[in-house]
Amino acid sequence: MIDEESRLNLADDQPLVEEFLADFGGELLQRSEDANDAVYWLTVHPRNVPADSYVARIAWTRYPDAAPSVKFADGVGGSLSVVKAWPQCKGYRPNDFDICKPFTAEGFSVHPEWGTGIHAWPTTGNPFLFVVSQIQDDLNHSYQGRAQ
Amino acid sequence: MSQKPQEHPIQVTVTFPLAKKPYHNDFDSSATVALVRSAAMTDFGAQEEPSTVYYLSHNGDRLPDERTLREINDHADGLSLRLVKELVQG
Repeated sequence: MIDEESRLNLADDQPLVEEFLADFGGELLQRSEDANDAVYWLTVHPRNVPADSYVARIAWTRYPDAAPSVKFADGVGGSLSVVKAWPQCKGYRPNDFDICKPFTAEGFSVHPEWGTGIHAWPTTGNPFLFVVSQIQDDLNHSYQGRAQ
Repeated sequence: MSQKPQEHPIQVTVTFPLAKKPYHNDFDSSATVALVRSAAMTDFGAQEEPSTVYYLSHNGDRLPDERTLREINDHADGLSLRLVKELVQG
Protein backbone atom coordinates (compact mmCIF):
# COMPACT_ATOMS: atom_id res chain seq x y z
CA MET A 1 0.00 0.00 0.00
CA ILE A 2 1.34 3.41 -0.93
CA ASP A 3 1.65 6.11 1.72
CA GLU A 4 -0.85 8.95 1.92
CA GLU A 5 1.63 11.69 1.00
CA SER A 6 2.56 9.86 -2.19
CA ARG A 7 -1.09 9.39 -3.02
CA LEU A 8 -1.76 13.11 -2.63
CA ASN A 9 1.31 14.03 -4.69
CA LEU A 10 0.17 11.72 -7.48
CA ALA A 11 -3.30 13.24 -7.43
CA ASP A 12 -1.76 16.72 -7.81
CA ASP A 13 0.30 15.70 -10.83
CA GLN A 14 -2.22 13.45 -12.58
CA PRO A 15 -4.24 16.19 -14.41
CA LEU A 16 -1.26 17.37 -16.46
CA VAL A 17 -0.52 13.75 -17.38
CA GLU A 18 -4.06 13.29 -18.66
CA GLU A 19 -3.90 16.58 -20.56
CA PHE A 20 -0.64 15.56 -22.20
CA LEU A 21 -1.97 12.14 -23.19
CA ALA A 22 -5.12 13.58 -24.72
CA ASP A 23 -2.98 15.39 -27.30
CA PHE A 24 -1.84 11.99 -28.57
CA GLY A 25 -5.10 10.08 -28.19
CA GLY A 26 -3.90 8.34 -25.03
CA GLU A 27 -5.64 7.67 -21.74
CA LEU A 28 -4.77 7.14 -18.10
CA LEU A 29 -6.87 4.80 -15.97
CA GLN A 30 -6.69 3.89 -12.31
CA ARG A 31 -8.94 0.99 -11.35
CA SER A 32 -10.53 1.14 -7.92
CA GLU A 33 -8.83 -2.12 -6.94
CA ASP A 34 -5.43 -0.62 -7.78
CA ALA A 35 -5.83 2.66 -5.89
CA ASN A 36 -4.15 1.47 -2.70
CA ASP A 37 -1.11 0.38 -4.67
CA ALA A 38 -0.85 3.50 -6.89
CA VAL A 39 -1.06 1.44 -10.06
CA TYR A 40 -2.06 3.21 -13.28
CA TRP A 41 -2.87 1.80 -16.70
CA LEU A 42 -1.70 3.90 -19.59
CA THR A 43 -3.10 3.44 -23.10
CA VAL A 44 -0.82 4.97 -25.71
CA HIS A 45 -0.44 5.06 -29.49
CA PRO A 46 2.57 5.85 -31.67
CA ARG A 47 1.87 9.22 -33.27
CA ASN A 48 2.59 7.95 -36.77
CA VAL A 49 0.76 4.64 -36.32
CA PRO A 50 -2.31 5.59 -34.30
CA ALA A 51 -4.00 2.25 -35.01
CA ASP A 52 -1.35 0.52 -32.89
CA SER A 53 -2.35 0.53 -29.25
CA TYR A 54 -0.32 -0.36 -26.16
CA VAL A 55 -1.19 -0.61 -22.50
CA ALA A 56 1.51 0.14 -19.96
CA ARG A 57 1.19 -0.54 -16.25
CA ILE A 58 2.86 2.15 -14.15
CA ALA A 59 3.25 1.15 -10.51
CA TRP A 60 4.57 3.65 -7.98
CA THR A 61 5.97 2.73 -4.58
CA ARG A 62 6.85 6.24 -3.36
CA TYR A 63 6.07 9.44 -5.19
CA PRO A 64 7.95 11.42 -6.25
CA ASP A 65 10.91 9.81 -4.51
CA ALA A 66 11.31 6.60 -6.51
CA ALA A 67 11.02 5.61 -10.16
CA PRO A 68 7.99 3.46 -10.97
CA SER A 69 7.87 -0.02 -12.39
CA VAL A 70 6.81 0.25 -16.04
CA LYS A 71 5.67 -2.84 -17.92
CA PHE A 72 3.43 -3.39 -20.90
CA ALA A 73 0.36 -5.59 -20.54
CA ASP A 74 -2.00 -7.32 -22.96
CA GLY A 75 -4.81 -5.07 -21.76
CA VAL A 76 -5.86 -3.07 -18.71
CA GLY A 77 -5.36 -5.42 -15.77
CA GLY A 78 -3.87 -7.99 -18.13
CA SER A 79 -0.78 -10.16 -18.17
CA LEU A 80 2.63 -8.49 -17.85
CA SER A 81 4.48 -11.36 -19.51
CA VAL A 82 3.30 -11.19 -23.11
CA VAL A 83 6.05 -10.25 -25.56
CA LYS A 84 3.56 -9.08 -28.18
CA ALA A 85 2.20 -6.53 -25.73
CA TRP A 86 5.44 -4.59 -26.06
CA PRO A 87 6.40 -1.98 -28.65
CA GLN A 88 9.85 -2.10 -30.16
CA CYS A 89 11.62 1.13 -29.18
CA LYS A 90 15.18 2.01 -28.25
CA GLY A 91 15.93 0.67 -24.78
CA TYR A 92 12.74 -1.43 -24.59
CA ARG A 93 13.45 -5.14 -24.04
CA PRO A 94 10.27 -7.14 -24.69
CA ASN A 95 11.93 -10.48 -23.99
CA ASP A 96 13.07 -9.25 -20.58
CA PHE A 97 9.81 -7.36 -19.94
CA ASP A 98 11.58 -4.16 -19.04
CA ILE A 99 12.56 -0.70 -20.24
CA CYS A 100 16.26 -0.24 -19.69
CA LYS A 101 16.30 3.54 -19.39
CA PRO A 102 16.71 5.83 -16.38
CA PHE A 103 13.03 6.46 -15.78
CA THR A 104 11.92 3.01 -14.62
CA ALA A 105 12.56 0.97 -11.50
CA GLU A 106 13.67 -1.86 -13.78
CA GLY A 107 16.25 0.38 -15.48
CA PHE A 108 17.71 1.55 -12.18
CA SER A 109 17.83 -2.07 -10.99
CA VAL A 110 19.83 -3.17 -14.03
CA HIS A 111 22.03 -0.07 -13.84
CA PRO A 112 22.62 0.85 -10.19
CA GLU A 113 25.23 3.34 -11.37
CA TRP A 114 22.33 5.47 -12.65
CA GLY A 115 21.34 6.06 -9.06
CA THR A 116 23.65 9.05 -8.82
CA GLY A 117 24.90 11.66 -11.27
CA ILE A 118 23.27 12.84 -14.46
CA HIS A 119 20.88 9.88 -14.72
CA ALA A 120 19.66 10.00 -11.13
CA TRP A 121 15.90 9.82 -10.70
CA PRO A 122 14.46 13.37 -10.79
CA THR A 123 12.08 14.46 -8.05
CA THR A 124 11.38 18.03 -9.19
CA GLY A 125 8.44 19.25 -11.23
CA ASN A 126 6.09 16.48 -12.34
CA PRO A 127 7.94 13.13 -12.50
CA PHE A 128 4.68 11.35 -13.40
CA LEU A 129 4.47 13.50 -16.54
CA PHE A 130 8.17 12.93 -17.12
CA VAL A 131 7.67 9.14 -17.22
CA VAL A 132 4.58 9.27 -19.41
CA SER A 133 6.12 11.76 -21.83
CA GLN A 134 9.22 9.57 -22.11
CA ILE A 135 7.04 6.64 -23.18
CA GLN A 136 5.03 8.75 -25.63
CA ASP A 137 8.16 10.35 -27.10
CA ASP A 138 9.77 6.93 -27.51
CA LEU A 139 6.68 5.75 -29.39
CA ASN A 140 6.69 8.91 -31.50
CA HIS A 141 10.34 8.86 -32.45
CA SER A 142 11.86 5.37 -32.16
CA TYR A 143 8.91 3.01 -32.68
CA GLN A 144 9.71 0.03 -34.92
CA GLY A 145 6.54 -1.97 -34.68
CA ARG A 146 5.11 -4.55 -32.31
CA ALA A 147 7.46 -7.05 -30.67
CA GLN A 148 7.11 -10.62 -31.89
CA MET B 1 6.19 51.28 -53.09
CA SER B 2 4.85 48.61 -50.82
CA GLN B 3 6.49 47.92 -47.52
CA LYS B 4 6.89 44.52 -46.00
CA PRO B 5 4.51 44.29 -43.02
CA GLN B 6 6.28 44.51 -39.71
CA GLU B 7 6.43 41.21 -37.87
CA HIS B 8 5.54 41.22 -34.21
CA PRO B 9 7.46 39.27 -31.61
CA ILE B 10 6.15 35.78 -30.98
CA GLN B 11 5.05 34.85 -27.49
CA VAL B 12 6.68 31.55 -26.70
CA THR B 13 5.82 29.16 -23.89
CA VAL B 14 8.03 26.17 -23.19
CA THR B 15 6.98 23.43 -20.79
CA PHE B 16 9.27 20.86 -19.21
CA PRO B 17 7.99 18.03 -17.02
CA LEU B 18 10.78 18.43 -14.51
CA ALA B 19 10.27 22.19 -14.04
CA LYS B 20 7.90 23.73 -11.52
CA LYS B 21 6.49 26.22 -14.04
CA PRO B 22 6.64 26.94 -17.79
CA TYR B 23 9.08 29.35 -19.39
CA HIS B 24 7.55 32.38 -21.12
CA ASN B 25 9.27 34.95 -23.32
CA ASP B 26 8.86 36.95 -26.51
CA PHE B 27 11.18 36.23 -29.43
CA ASP B 28 11.65 37.73 -32.88
CA SER B 29 10.17 35.53 -35.56
CA SER B 30 13.68 35.12 -36.97
CA ALA B 31 14.90 33.51 -33.74
CA THR B 32 16.02 29.92 -34.10
CA VAL B 33 14.80 26.92 -32.18
CA ALA B 34 18.32 26.61 -30.78
CA LEU B 35 18.09 30.09 -29.25
CA VAL B 36 14.76 29.35 -27.60
CA ARG B 37 15.90 25.97 -26.39
CA SER B 38 19.03 27.45 -24.85
CA ALA B 39 17.06 30.20 -23.09
CA ALA B 40 14.48 27.74 -21.79
CA MET B 41 17.11 25.30 -20.57
CA THR B 42 18.85 28.10 -18.68
CA ASP B 43 15.55 29.07 -17.06
CA PHE B 44 14.84 25.45 -16.12
CA GLY B 45 18.37 24.88 -14.83
CA ALA B 46 18.83 22.08 -17.36
CA GLN B 47 22.30 21.48 -18.74
CA GLU B 48 23.65 19.59 -21.72
CA GLU B 49 24.97 16.27 -20.47
CA PRO B 50 26.89 13.40 -22.03
CA SER B 51 24.58 10.70 -23.44
CA THR B 52 21.52 12.91 -23.01
CA VAL B 53 19.96 15.04 -25.72
CA TYR B 54 17.58 17.93 -25.24
CA TYR B 55 15.28 19.09 -28.01
CA LEU B 56 12.12 21.12 -28.48
CA SER B 57 8.91 19.49 -29.62
CA HIS B 58 5.85 21.04 -31.24
CA ASN B 59 2.68 18.98 -31.68
CA GLY B 60 4.79 15.88 -31.25
CA ASP B 61 7.30 16.88 -33.92
CA ARG B 62 10.95 17.10 -33.03
CA LEU B 63 12.15 20.56 -34.07
CA PRO B 64 15.56 20.96 -35.70
CA ASP B 65 17.69 23.56 -33.95
CA GLU B 66 18.20 25.58 -37.14
CA ARG B 67 14.51 26.16 -37.81
CA THR B 68 13.15 29.64 -37.16
CA LEU B 69 10.05 30.46 -35.13
CA ARG B 70 8.52 32.05 -38.25
CA GLU B 71 8.55 28.62 -39.89
CA ILE B 72 6.68 26.86 -37.11
CA ASN B 73 4.42 29.50 -35.58
CA ASP B 74 0.89 28.34 -36.33
CA HIS B 75 -1.16 30.26 -33.83
CA ALA B 76 -1.78 33.98 -33.47
CA ASP B 77 -1.83 33.69 -29.69
CA GLY B 78 1.70 32.37 -29.50
CA LEU B 79 3.76 29.26 -29.75
CA SER B 80 3.67 26.38 -27.26
CA LEU B 81 6.69 24.12 -27.21
CA ARG B 82 7.83 21.27 -25.03
CA LEU B 83 11.41 20.66 -23.91
CA VAL B 84 12.23 16.97 -24.16
CA LYS B 85 15.07 15.23 -22.37
CA GLU B 86 15.93 12.19 -24.43
CA LEU B 87 17.48 9.57 -22.18
CA VAL B 88 20.16 7.04 -22.95
CA GLN B 89 19.27 3.38 -23.18
CA GLY B 90 20.95 0.75 -21.09
